[in-house]
Amino acid sequence: MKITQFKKMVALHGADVTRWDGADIDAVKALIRESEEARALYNEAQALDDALDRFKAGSVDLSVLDDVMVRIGGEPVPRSSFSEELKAARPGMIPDDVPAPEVIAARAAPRPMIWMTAAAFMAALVVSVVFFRGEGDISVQQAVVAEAPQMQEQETVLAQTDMPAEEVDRLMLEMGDMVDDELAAHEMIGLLAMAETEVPQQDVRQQDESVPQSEEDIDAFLDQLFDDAGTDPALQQEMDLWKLFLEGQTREL
Amino acid sequence: MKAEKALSIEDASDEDLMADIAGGDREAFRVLAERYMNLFYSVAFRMYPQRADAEDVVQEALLRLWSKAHLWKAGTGAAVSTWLYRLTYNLCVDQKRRNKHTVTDLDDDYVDPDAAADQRIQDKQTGAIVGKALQNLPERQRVALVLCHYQGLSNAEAADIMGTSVKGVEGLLVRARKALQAELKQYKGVL
Repeated sequence: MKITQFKKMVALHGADVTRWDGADIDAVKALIRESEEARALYNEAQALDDALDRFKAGSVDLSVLDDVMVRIGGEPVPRSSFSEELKAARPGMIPDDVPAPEVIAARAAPRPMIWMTAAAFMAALVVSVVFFRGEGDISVQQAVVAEAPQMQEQETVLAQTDMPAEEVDRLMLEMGDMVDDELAAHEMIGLLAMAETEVPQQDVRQQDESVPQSEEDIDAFLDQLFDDAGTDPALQQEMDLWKLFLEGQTREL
Repeated sequence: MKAEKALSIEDASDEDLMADIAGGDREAFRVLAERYMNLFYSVAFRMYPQRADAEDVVQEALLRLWSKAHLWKAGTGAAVSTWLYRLTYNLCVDQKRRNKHTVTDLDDDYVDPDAAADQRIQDKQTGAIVGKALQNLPERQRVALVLCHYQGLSNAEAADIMGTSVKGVEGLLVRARKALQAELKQYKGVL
């Protein structure tokens, strides 16, 4: 390549030799190595290209297209401009996978069927506690179990009755277990709430068709449960103990 | 069926999308608009480095794409991209005529957000200087430089968009680069 041709190309296209029409790149490199003038011109052109490249345009705000879609009578683009706005407002603070507003709203909305399933699960837990405890002689309906901080007070009230001390101790142990079970049940509800966001609602229903689905079903289920408790002699004994306990509390008040 | 259509429309050629847009297909418009709107913006911002002005140009270009798509003739050898560049170029010229004011303040879009902090500051300074130097160029020199250097178009494509000859574009490019070099040499560390 001659120096005159080199000067023309570098003045026209800058340092990007791929844009030099039909130029032999090896010949260009050889000329730059050999000619000081060519080298100086090439370095100047490269510096200008680098400076130009530092003037960046960035990206257009995607809401521009949303506005246009609305103006031409179409739907806004089905992507989360909400996420884009958040990222623009707080760069670096918002992850890329921020869900769309409608997704967030759907997650926040109550899901009655899921909670009915959870309620039914709780009812099943009560059944298992009432009917299937180890010894079966002493059992307490979990719904009336006192909170743990009140147990000392309950022990005092029970001690005022004619009940033998061993029986009081055993009853208190049972009640402690009940509190543990209740805490476990609360933990289970928490896990269900977490699972609710992960498992599609339809899948939950399909996995357990035996679980009561409507409010009426749950009411009937619980009525049946308490009716059965009335015919169980062990439960009847337990109910009598609780009646005694409540009477003691009433007297104290 | 709908998914199949969605997949195929995303992969459709520019020419097919233009034909669909001319027939009133909004989905085809959305796909082509997403494909080209950053290109519109890139040209407009380098012509007029105010974000609001550049976005006005993009919005108007998209509206014209929707309303004038039937004017693009398939099979004439004209690429859709060239037609869209010409649309944007004309809008930039119109914008200049409407807004007679001289642009002095530049927006910060010329800074690369991925760069390190000190590099970002340096890029911001250099970007501002280069942007201002570009503003000082005559309009056609600036357009030629934007189309060829920033958009990577050939001189022939730039000539087609600008409605001039290849020789004309070459003359504009040489003068533009020479003027920029002269101006930017005043700033220490830029060149």
